[in-house]
Amino acid sequence: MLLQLNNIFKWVNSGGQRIFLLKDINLNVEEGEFISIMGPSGSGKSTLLNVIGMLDAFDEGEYNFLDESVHTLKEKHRANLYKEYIGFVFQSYHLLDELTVKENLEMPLLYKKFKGSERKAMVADMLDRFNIVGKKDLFPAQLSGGQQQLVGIARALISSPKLILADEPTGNLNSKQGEEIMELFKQLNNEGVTIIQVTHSEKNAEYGSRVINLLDGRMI
Amino acid sequence: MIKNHIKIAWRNLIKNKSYFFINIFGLSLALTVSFLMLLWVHDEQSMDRFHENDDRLYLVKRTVPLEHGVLDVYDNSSYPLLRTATEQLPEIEKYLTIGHTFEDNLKVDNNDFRAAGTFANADLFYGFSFPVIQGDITQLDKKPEAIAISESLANRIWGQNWKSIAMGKSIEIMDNGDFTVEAVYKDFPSSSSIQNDFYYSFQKFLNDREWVNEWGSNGMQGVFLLKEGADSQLVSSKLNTLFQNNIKGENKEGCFLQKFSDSYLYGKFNEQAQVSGGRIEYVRIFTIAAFFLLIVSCINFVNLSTVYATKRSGEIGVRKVVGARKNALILQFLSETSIITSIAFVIAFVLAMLLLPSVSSFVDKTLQVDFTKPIFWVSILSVFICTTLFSGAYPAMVISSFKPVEALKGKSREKKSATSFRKGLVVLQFGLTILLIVAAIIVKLQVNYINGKDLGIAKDHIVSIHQDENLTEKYNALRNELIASNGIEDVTLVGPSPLDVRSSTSGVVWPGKAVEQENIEFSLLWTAHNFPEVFDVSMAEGSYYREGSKDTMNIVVNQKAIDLMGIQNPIGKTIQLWGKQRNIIGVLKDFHNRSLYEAIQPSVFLLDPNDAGMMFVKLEAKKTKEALASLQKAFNTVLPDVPLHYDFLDQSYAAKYKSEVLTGDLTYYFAFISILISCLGLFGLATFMAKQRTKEIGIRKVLGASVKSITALISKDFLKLVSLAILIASPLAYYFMDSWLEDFAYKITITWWVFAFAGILTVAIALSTIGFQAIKAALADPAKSLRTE
Ligand SMILES: Nc1ncnc2c1ncn2[C@@H]1O[C@H](COP(=O)(O)OP(=O)(O)O)[C@@H](O)[C@H]1O
Ligand SMILES: [Mg+2]
Repeated sequence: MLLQLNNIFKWVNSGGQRIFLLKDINLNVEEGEFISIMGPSGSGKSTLLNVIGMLDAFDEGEYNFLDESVHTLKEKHRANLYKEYIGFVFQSYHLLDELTVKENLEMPLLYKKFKGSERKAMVADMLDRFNIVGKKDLFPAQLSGGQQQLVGIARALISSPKLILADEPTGNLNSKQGEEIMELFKQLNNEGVTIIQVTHSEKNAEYGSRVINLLDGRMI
Repeated sequence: MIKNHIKIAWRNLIKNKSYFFINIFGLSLALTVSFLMLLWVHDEQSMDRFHENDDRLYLVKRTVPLEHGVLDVYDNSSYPLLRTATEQLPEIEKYLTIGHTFEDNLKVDNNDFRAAGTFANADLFYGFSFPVIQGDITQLDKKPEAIAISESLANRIWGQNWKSIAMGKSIEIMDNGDFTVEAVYKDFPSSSSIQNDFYYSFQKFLNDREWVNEWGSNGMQGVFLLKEGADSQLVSSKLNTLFQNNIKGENKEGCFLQKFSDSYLYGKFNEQAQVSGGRIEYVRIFTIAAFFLLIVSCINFVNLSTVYATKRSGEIGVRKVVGARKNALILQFLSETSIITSIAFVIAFVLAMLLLPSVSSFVDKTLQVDFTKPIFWVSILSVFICTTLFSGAYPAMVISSFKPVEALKGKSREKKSATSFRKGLVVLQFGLTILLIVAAIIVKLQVNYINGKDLGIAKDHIVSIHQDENLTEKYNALRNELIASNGIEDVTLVGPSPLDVRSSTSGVVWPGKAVEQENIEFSLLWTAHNFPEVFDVSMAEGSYYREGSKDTMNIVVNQKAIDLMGIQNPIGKTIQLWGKQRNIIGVLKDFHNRSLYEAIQPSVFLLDPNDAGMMFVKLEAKKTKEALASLQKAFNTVLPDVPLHYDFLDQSYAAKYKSEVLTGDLTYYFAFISILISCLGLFGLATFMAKQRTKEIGIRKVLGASVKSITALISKDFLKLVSLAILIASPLAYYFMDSWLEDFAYKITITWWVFAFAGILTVAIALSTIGFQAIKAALADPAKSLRTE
């Protein structure tokens, strides 16, 4: 078992009223799964992903990740946990504009205890693996959307996470580029990486092994 | 990691040029000023501290009890006291003479050299760290005709090869006799408050002045070199006892020791003879002003970076998501700040070095940077660290505490407290600026007031010339020659300068004089009969002396003196001067006979032109050039051997207020730079706000808002802050400036319009700064601005 959500609730207070963003979410994820989360806009998909990624807190319920109970952990420990095991991929890539491809890839390693030579080797490895060696000194603005997302995924993978969380990774791409990204995910999944993605497209969901449907913060 | 930060910081810098320009420009400006100011302060504080025996050198001060227990403090004391103390008190190792420096003509082989100097004993060179280059300085104590001169004077007289020429050469000091060069000393460093081109034998000085040997005379200044480990407090009180045991009178004078190197900065004493200030006040004022400027520019930094941080919230979110800890982010933003501060430091340093010569001449000093001194590097480093932390710490904290999810959405809004904090900083910034503006105006007004004040005596178109024996002898011939020539109105002999009467006597006795009035000093002026005409002083009662060479039967005083003595119908009444009866024949109207720091003194005027000491020549207005030519011609004919040196009286008068004028000018610069930096910050904030509200402005315009109303919308918030700053700063400024003015006996009253003016000026400048951005935003095409969202 990689992670387990039990009776997760998340809400915000607005004008004295509780507005539920997540309602009674129960979810078990095994290592090696490829899960797609679907649902209409505003149904809470991103919120759920952020809770799983520990970027966002929840108000009630239990969350266990690799036998650690996330809900009892202090902020700092939680951060350590996700830094070590989780990689994030975003719809709008979120590459740093001021950094080159190479530097964007290197950035997560700077926050971990790697030596300069190790970092170089790991970055070179990634560039190789994603076939973007020739682009290493370009800035994000000089790349196409598909290429940017490729870099985004490479960056998420560089510190070898167990879990990749992808929020509409193909949302800004054309269908051909999207397909390539999905193929990549498939391949990564085959290599053993657990993937949870949010998607609007049935076709993309089919790459996964399981689909979770959300409506108004509830799993259906 | 750091390398990475620097790289990113640099790219950010290139990308956000205007933001960084504002920060760097403001900061380097403030740093340049602070840097120069620190140099000046350091220079002031190291004055006279270079002597090896610094901690053992003490200046003798004298206290004079006046009415109501008030004490006056003087630098001069009695020579027998200084001598006896040196002989009798075991703690005193040496007595160093401090003579009054005067400018004189030196004659060497028929060439004239103008030089400043005085007398000295050899112990002066022993006690102070004034190295002797050549000769035997002890000759000053052995031979009355010995003279020691400075290296540069030797150079001036004999050129570079003076070493093989100077010894044993004869120098004539005008009016003082012939001397033989016995020693040449190294020029005193500029950090010495004592500067003399020559020192003649103290023995000679003593031989010429018998009166110096009386306990009651106060003609000498002295510095004591105490023995190692001596307790200066104890010596001080022993000295006082010794003094009082040897002088007569009821209400006795006293004396005490002040550390010599302290006397430069702490020269002002209160009525209890406790140190109450002096030049140190200016040191403090300018340190504070420099500090203000730094704060003002750091505030720009803080405000702009926190505002600008919202622009970078995406970056922060990404970094957090990939694993950046809060500390790592704080470190990143601090290193970005330190890059900006470093650049500003380098610019400031270069700028300061370029400005150093002109600033040096402006403050009348030779400022220099001593790179070998650790204190220099320590101060630079600490200013660097403080500036970086002060500017960078808060923004770094704010930025690094953004929540990752919100940050990624670009939704990171500052907390309400952060916005109020920024507003508070803007108020502080403008408050400090207004403080400086008000200070600049008031100092300027006071200086103008002093320069323009009717002193009750003329000072324009009058030149002064030192009187010596030759001149006294030929005075009548010279005067006749001058009056007959073009451009000259009149000539008289007066001494000392009536605008700065430092001679005084307590030897005036009148019927009903109380014991506690025993030490009251009357200013004393030696004059010729035409003094009132030449100086435009009129008689309140009676008449001035008739022409003559001396009058010991009669006396003329001023109104202050009459008030003090309480004499009704004074003309014809008798008072005593130095034990002799004199008839009051006239009362002169009061005129300011000292600086405007002091009240007008009760004064006595004597008819004794030969002892006056100065010749004053009144020129015709607008004929200065012709008059000076006539003056030179008259000297050439009547006194061909005496070189002509003259000073304009109004200039000497203005020189007395040099530090006030300097303060005024400096405060102006400070105020100007301060408002410039503050407005830069405001400009940055307004630019950002306008950009942030592009959409809102677009919508408002589509809905029909006018350019005027939109401009007002954007300007309003800032104007509120500036107004608040005015309200807070005005009373503070009033308080500070009121206490500054307290030192002056004659001063302006602070009026409300100064504050109104400062306020309106600030609002006007702020408005034009913001207005530019506001109008630009308001004029933008709404369709365009809406599309960008
Ligand atoms: N911090 C928050 N405060 C209030 N409402 C929120 C917050 N976060 C998300 N929401 C709301 O919760 C709902 C779910 O948001 P989200 O998870 O982003 O939906 P999805 O990703 O499925 O489109 C939306 O209606 C959104 O407006
Ligand atoms: Mg979403």
